[in-house]
Amino acid sequence: MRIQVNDKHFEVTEKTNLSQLLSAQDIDTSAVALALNGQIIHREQWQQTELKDNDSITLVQAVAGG
Amino acid sequence: MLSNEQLLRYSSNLLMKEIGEAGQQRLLKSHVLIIGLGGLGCPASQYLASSGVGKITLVDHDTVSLSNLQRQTLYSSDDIGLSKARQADHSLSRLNPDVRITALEEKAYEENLDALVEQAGLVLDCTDNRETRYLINQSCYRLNTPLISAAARGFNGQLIALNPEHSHGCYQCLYPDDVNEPLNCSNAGIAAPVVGIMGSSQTLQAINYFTGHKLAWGYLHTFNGLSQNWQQLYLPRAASCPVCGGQNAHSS
Repeated sequence: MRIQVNDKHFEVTEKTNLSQLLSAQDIDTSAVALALNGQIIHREQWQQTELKDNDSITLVQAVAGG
Repeated sequence: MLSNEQLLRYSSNLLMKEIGEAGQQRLLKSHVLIIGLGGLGCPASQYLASSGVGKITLVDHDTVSLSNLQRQTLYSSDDIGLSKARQADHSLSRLNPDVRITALEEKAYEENLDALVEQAGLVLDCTDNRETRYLINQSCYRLNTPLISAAARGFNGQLIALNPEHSHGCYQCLYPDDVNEPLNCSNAGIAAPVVGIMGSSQTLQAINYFTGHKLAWGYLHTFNGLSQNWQQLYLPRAASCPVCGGQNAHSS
């Protein structure tokens, strides 16, 4: 299945949840919010969120300046 | 009733059916608390004052420095070393004498926030650090006061309107305490118009709120100043959130 992470596309062959994808792709999640198809998924739900074909993941860097 | 001078001053607002005389009256009766008078708070307060928001409370403990002038449009080179709250007060009072401004040269912290938030109908978080952002969020949720929070760094901006009466998540749900931000404005830089756009967007949301338009509560708006793209991401409530979740949760 095809998964989009920000501007990049990944081809995933096995059943994968959010946590597995992020660690498999070595994505740094230390200061980010994550959205799946436009809805933010809280960190404690990453493990139980299974990905589907054409899912789109948006990673947003925490910003606090002003 | 609007005076003749007000009819002229606000004529551009009055001409639009989205604001009109009723909307202008509501703006004149509104009270906004702005915390932070840097790159966000400058444009946010300028547009609030020029639009005729009747009462504005400004909170900032900082003084103007030379490196602020790249983006902090309320101050001039003559203001270096002077209090931001006091200079902003002077500048905004000259801009629109209709507006009653209370300028507080103090830091927003746990002990004074509730008293400040309690008096306002809406809070704009224009601060530059996560610690104060958490405290403002907590105070707004405790007192049931809507909050429009924005932030910027580099070419990226973020904005979220939070209404404690709605069922979306809060700032604490968005960035839980254990998420550490490695960079801020002082060490990562900031594109002046990006932070200007974010501060102006906070005021646009404030005006829309007071004039009875629907806001996209609970949507994180992200802006990329290079591609000029906006994205909207919905923030649900985190069940474990100590601020808005569980037993502290409001209805709807």
